Amino acid sequence: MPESLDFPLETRDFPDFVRRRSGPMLRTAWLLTGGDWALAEDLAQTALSEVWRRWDRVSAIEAPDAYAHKVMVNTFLRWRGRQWTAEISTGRFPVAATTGGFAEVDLRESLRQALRRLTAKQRAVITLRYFEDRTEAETAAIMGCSVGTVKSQASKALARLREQPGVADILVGGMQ
Amino acid sequence: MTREEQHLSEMLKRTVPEPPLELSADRMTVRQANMSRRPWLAPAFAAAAVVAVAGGGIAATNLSSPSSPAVQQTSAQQTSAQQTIAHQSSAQRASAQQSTNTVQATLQATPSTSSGASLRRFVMPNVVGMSSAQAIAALNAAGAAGTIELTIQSSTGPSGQPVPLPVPKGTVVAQYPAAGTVVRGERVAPNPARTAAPN
Repeated sequence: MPESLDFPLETRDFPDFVRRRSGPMLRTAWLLTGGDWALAEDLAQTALSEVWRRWDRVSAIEAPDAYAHKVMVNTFLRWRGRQWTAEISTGRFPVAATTGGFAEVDLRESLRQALRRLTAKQRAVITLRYFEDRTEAETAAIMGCSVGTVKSQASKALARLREQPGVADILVGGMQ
Repeated sequence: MTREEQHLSEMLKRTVPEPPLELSADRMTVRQANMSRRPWLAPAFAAAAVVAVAGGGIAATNLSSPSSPAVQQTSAQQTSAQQTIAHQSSAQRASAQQSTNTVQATLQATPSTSSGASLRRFVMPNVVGMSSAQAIAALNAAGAAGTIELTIQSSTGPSGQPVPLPVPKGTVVAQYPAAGTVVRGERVAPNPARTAAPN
C-alpha cells in the first residue's frame, strides 16, 4: 500500500521558495561560474533539484535558504573538473591588456576575465567572503574546509586579481 | 578587512549584474554527470511515468521519443505495474486475472527557455494516491512533455466478478520512476515526425 494518498504537503511551497531565492542564487552563481549566465542558471537549478529531492526535510529545518546556498557552492566545487574551470575562449582579446588604459574598459568584462583566471575554490572563497560578506569561519563551514584554507585561498585569489588590469586599479583606488 | 579587501567587496557588489532570467520550479534541470551516477536511470530514457491503478491500473509512459524503445518500455512497465498490484493484494493473486487496455493522454509540452537543443529534464512528482487525471496534471506541472500512455488494468476474479480493492477505483497505486528522481525526457523542439506516438 502506498504510504499516503494525499498530494505531499511539503512540495507545495517549493515553487515559492525557488522564486524567492532566484535572484540571490543566480548572482552568486554568476560569480562562481566566472560571469556566465547559462552556466549560472545550470548550476543554480541543479542545486535546487538537489534541494527538491530532500525538500520534506529541508523545508522542516530553520534555514532552507542557507541549505540551498550551501548545496549550490558544494555542487560547484564538486564539479570543478567540469566545464566551469575549462579554458574559455572569449573570442576577443582582453581590452585591458592591449590598450593599457582602463577608462574605456568595461569593468564587468575585466572582472569576468579576472574570475576566470581563478581556481574554482578561489572563486568560491572570493564570492562568499567579499560578495556575500561572510566571515572566514562561515566560509569555511559552507565549503567544508578549514579557516586556514579560506585565508590562504583568499590571499592567492587577491594576488591573481591584482594582475588583472582594470581590476587592479580598483583594488588600489576603490570604485569611483 | 584590509582596504584592498573592502575595495574588492565594493566592486563585486556593484558589478554583478541583475539576472536576466528567473529560476523556476518547473524548469529543474540536472547535469548529465550527476545522472550517470544513477545507471538505473538509463532505462528511463523515454519514460515519464508508470502508474498502476487499482481496479483499473495504469502504466504511463512517455512515448514522445523514438517509438520502438518506448513501446518496449511500455510492456516492461506493464509487467511492473502488474507486479505491484499482485504484491498489494497477494491474497487475491492466485484467483485474479488481469486484463489491460491502453489510453493515451497528451502532456502539454512547455519548451525549455534555457536552450532549445538541450534534453528536457524534469523531476518526477509523486503521483501515487492521485486519480489518473490528477496524475496527468501533476506530470504536466512538473514539466513532463510529450505523450503519456496509461494502461488500465482491471482485476477480476475467475468468474469475472470484480475483486475488492484496497483503495478507491482509479487511484494510482504505483509509479515509475519514483518521486523525486530526475527524468531525462525527449528533446525539446524535436522533429514533429518523431513526436507522434506509435499507432
